[in-house]
Amino acid sequence: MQLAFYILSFIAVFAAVMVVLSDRPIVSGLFLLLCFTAISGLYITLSAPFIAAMQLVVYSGAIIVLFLFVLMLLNQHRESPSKRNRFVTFVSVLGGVLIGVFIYLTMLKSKILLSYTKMSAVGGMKNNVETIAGVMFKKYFIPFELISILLLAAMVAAVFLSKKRV
Amino acid sequence: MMEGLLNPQTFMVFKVVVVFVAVLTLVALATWAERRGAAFIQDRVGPNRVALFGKIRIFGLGQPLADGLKLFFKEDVLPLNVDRVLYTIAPVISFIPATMTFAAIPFGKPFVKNGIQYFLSILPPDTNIGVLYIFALAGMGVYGIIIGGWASNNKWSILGAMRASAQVISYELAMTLAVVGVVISAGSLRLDRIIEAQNGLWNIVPQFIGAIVFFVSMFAETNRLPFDFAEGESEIIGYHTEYMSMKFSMFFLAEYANMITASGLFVTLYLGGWHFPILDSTVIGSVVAFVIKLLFVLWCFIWVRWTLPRFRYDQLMRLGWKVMLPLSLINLVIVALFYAYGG
Repeated sequence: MQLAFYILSFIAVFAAVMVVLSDRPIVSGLFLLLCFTAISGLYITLSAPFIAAMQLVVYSGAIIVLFLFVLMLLNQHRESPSKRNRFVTFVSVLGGVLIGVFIYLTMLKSKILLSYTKMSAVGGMKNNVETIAGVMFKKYFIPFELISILLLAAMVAAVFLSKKRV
Repeated sequence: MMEGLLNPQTFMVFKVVVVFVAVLTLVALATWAERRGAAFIQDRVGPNRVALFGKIRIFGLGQPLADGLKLFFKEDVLPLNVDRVLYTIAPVISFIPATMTFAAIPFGKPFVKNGIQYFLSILPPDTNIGVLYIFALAGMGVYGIIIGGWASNNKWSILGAMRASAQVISYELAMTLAVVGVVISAGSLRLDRIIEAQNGLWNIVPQFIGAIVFFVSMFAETNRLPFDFAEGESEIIGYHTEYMSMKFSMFFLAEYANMITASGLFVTLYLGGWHFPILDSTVIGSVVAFVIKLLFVLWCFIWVRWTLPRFRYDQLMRLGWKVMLPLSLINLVIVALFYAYGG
């Protein structure tokens, strides 16, 4: 399980870096897909198959398809290298590394890093869905419903705004 | 001797090998059945010339073997200006999920031996996400289409890929909503619970609307006629136009493997899985019952293909969004109301 964690997290980080480094938008989108898929594998090592499946359905399945559709319609094959300013790149990398270090330091103090102790084989995956349902529909019922209404309103607004007036 | 070998580990390996080989053999048989079935429906003879050792014809059953050999030994040309890596990866991406999805489907009755519970599906039922596993992986198949069309560096391939992926995404919605009705009636995402819940009355009777929606969406999801826009062999050009040899046959195998998984899922969700009067009293009988049902649904695929003409693209989209989606929502509301107040 530890080995699976190291392999999957290496793939995820590598893919995330390649999303930024690749100069073709479609390839960036596909690396993002690889990153999301590796993360769903990480969820499985944490005995959370429901979250893993949802990660695959929602992020890998729906959102990346949407990205790729837009990119394919724009038909932008290659980003021109002249648009890449060296100074901006340097500052961005520095900023990214700093933010990463701060997040790492924060996590060292929190309990999140210890989650690998909860890793277990497939046998430990019982009652996953029931637990999530209990939390969502009993403990946090009202916030959950409010979020659904908010999402619905956003969806209606998006359809309304993008519609052509005849 | 066989008794001594029976332990969970060897049984797992046995299951994986048997299921993989069985599915791929069934793929080969399905191509043969498709061509013979087409000939039967159109009152022709069909392929019956391929003979083993030049003598034994057995209804042209050697045809899939000959086709496979032909595809394997064909020259594999890399078209000009394609994206080499993505062009090669695309068939693999569509083939892997197609062979992985069958793992969740229980194809026989679980049995107990020496105090250990053995179940006849590759994915352990305790994983608890049965249906979701299939939908999550089946959703990955669409990337084979998109990447294949894009990497070919051909305008018509890209258009074909957009068309096919839009179709798959549209019908996935109606299909998932139809399955939610089944999940509510069984009270679990686990496929073995769903089969148990159908003991006595198959889901196709109380959830008739959902079954119809699932059945129609199944054809669109696997890109089969009458929704054959992915391939569009006779007039429009599909996403795998630039593919040949083994790369093309990977797409081809993926389509047939998807058909088998879809049939298996339909049998599990609506036709009672391995349940059948008398037959399911033994383990082997239950596997036989499952296979018979699966073959029947598989035959329906071929039957429909040679009976109905192809839809037009706007008709397909209208059917998906304006007929199938509302129907599956109605089914969902009826089932939910029944289980909230009536059951």
